[in-house]
Amino acid sequence: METDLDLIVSRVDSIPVLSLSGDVDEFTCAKLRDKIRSLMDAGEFRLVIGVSGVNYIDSSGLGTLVGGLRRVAEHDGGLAISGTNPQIERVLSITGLNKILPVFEDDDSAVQSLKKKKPRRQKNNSDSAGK
Amino acid sequence: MWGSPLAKTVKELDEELDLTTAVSLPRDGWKPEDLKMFKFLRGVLNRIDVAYVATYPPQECGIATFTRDLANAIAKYTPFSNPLVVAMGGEVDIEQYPKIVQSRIRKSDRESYLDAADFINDSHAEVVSLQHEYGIFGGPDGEYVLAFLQRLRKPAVATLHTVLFSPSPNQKRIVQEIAEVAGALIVMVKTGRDMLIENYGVPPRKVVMIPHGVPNVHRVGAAAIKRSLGIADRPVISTFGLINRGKGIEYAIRAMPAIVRQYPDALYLVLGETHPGVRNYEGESYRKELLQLVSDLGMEDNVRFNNRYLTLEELINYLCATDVYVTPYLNRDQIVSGTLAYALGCGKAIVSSPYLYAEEVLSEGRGLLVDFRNPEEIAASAISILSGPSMREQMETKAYKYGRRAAWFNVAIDYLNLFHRLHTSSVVPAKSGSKGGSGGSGGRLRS
Repeated sequence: METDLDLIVSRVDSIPVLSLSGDVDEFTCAKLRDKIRSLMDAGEFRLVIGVSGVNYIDSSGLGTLVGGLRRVAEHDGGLAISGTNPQIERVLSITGLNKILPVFEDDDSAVQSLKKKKPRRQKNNSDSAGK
Repeated sequence: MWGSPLAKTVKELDEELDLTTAVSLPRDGWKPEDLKMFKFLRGVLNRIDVAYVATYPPQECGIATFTRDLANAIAKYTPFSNPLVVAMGGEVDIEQYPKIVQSRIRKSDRESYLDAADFINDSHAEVVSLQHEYGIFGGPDGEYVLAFLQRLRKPAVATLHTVLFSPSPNQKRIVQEIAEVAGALIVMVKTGRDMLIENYGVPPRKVVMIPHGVPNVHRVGAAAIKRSLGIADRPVISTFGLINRGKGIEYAIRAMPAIVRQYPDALYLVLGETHPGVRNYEGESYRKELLQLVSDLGMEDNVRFNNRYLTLEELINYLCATDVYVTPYLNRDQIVSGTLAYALGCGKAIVSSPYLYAEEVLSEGRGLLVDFRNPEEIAASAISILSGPSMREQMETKAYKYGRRAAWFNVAIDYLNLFHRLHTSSVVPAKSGSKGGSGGSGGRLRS
C-alpha cells in the first residue's frame, strides 16, 4: 500500500487536471501545494483535482485544497474535485467543505463547471507548466 | 498541538493558528482578504462542541492519552468549535491541566459527578464523549458514572475500553444502564460488538465499531533510525506501555536466550515506566523482578529497559526501529490495546498472546499469535520473523494497511459523523436558514 502521493497533470479542454494517487496528508500535502502553485505561476487559475486514486485525506490535505481554492478565487478562477471516491466525499461532507469544493463524477463534468469561470488573468495554455 | 491546517490556510499556511486565536478576530497583520476568507470559512465549516469526560494528561494512563489524541484529531477538522474536557480523577490539580480542561470530577465523590453533569448541561457543549473503563470511575465497579449520565441532558456517546466476557452482575448492570442512557456505545473491535449484543443484550443499533486511533506514520526503513538510536544492525524486539504485571513481560524476557542463540545481537527493549496506579501500591517491585530475571538469565546485554515517559516522537522512532513487536499480555478478556494499535499503525511484524483484541486485529496474517505464558512460542515466532524477510514483509504490509484505516485522521471522521448524527437527532430541526452539508445526517448543524 503506497502512502506517498503521486501527481499527474493532464488537460481536458485546455484546463489542467491534477490527478492524485496515494494519501494526501501532513507528509505529502506540500507536494500538492507546490504543484498547485506552479500551475498558478504559469497562469492557470481553473484547476480540476482528480481524487479517484486517493486512499485517504486528512485535515492537512483539506487545508491544502482550501488554500488552493482561495488562491485561484483571488483571480476569479475556480477549483473543482473530480472522481468517485466515497472516502473523500464523506470527509468533505462531514467537515462542510462540500459546500465550497464541489465533487464531480468525472473530469469532463468538473471541467465544464469551471468553463463558466472567467479568470481575470490567464495565459495561453501552450506551455507545459506542471507537467 | 491544537493547530488546525484548515484554519492555517487562512494565513497561507505560514502561521500557526490555535483554536483560541482562530475564533478571536481581528488579528494584527491580517490582510483584508485573510479576514474575508476567515469569515467565509467560519460560515462554511461544520461545528460541533464536544465535552469529553475522561482522564486527561498530565494524568498518566492509556485512556488519558486516548482522549487527548481523539480531541486533537477532531479539533483539526473543526477549527471553529469549542471542545471542553471534564477530567476524571483527583490526582492532578486543575491548574496542571491544559486550558481545554474546564472542570474535574473527584473520583470517589458521588456529588462531584452530579456537579459535572450540571456543568455540561449549562455549557455550550452539544455532545458528550465519555470514555468508559470501570476503574477510572468511583463507587462499586465505577457505578458513579451512572449518576453522571442520568443527570446529563446532552446526548452522550460512551467509548468502552473494557468489555468483559464474564462480567459480574453489577458490572453487567452498569454497562446495560450506560447503554440505556447513552445514544451510542463505541467498541474498537467486532468481538466487543458481538459481546455487547449477545452477552449484555444491548440493541445492535446502539453499538458502533470504530477502531482505536493510531498516529499517522509513513513507513520508513529501520536501519537509519536504529543508527540514530545507537542500536545499529541489532535485531530489535520491543514492548511499550505503562508497565504492570498484566503485561507478561517476563515471558518475553524468558524467550530471549533462545532468540540470542540464533541472533547474538538481538535486543529486547521494554519501553515505558511503571503504571502510576501500580507504583502507588507496589512501587517498582515488578520491574525489579524483571531486572532480576534478566540478570538470572545472563541477558544484561540483550534486554534494555527505558524507564521513563517517552514522547510520541520517541515512541514512534523506537517502533520504527523495531523488527518484532511483542505483546505477551496475560488477560484473555482484554478488548483493546493502544500499544498494539500503534504497532499496527507503524506496520510492524507482531507476536502476541491471544487476548481478544490481538486475536481479532492480528487475524488474516497480520501477526503471529502464541499461547499465553509461553516463552518457547514467543522465541520461535520471533525467530521465524527475523529469519523470513518475505513473510515479514507480507505481515508488515498487511498490518500497515489495517493500521492506516485506523489513523487518527480517519477515526476522527468516524467520531464526528457519529456526533453529528446524534446531535441532529436530539434537536428540533431548524427552520429556514439552517445550513446543509452535515455529516451525512442532513439535520441542523451550526456552521
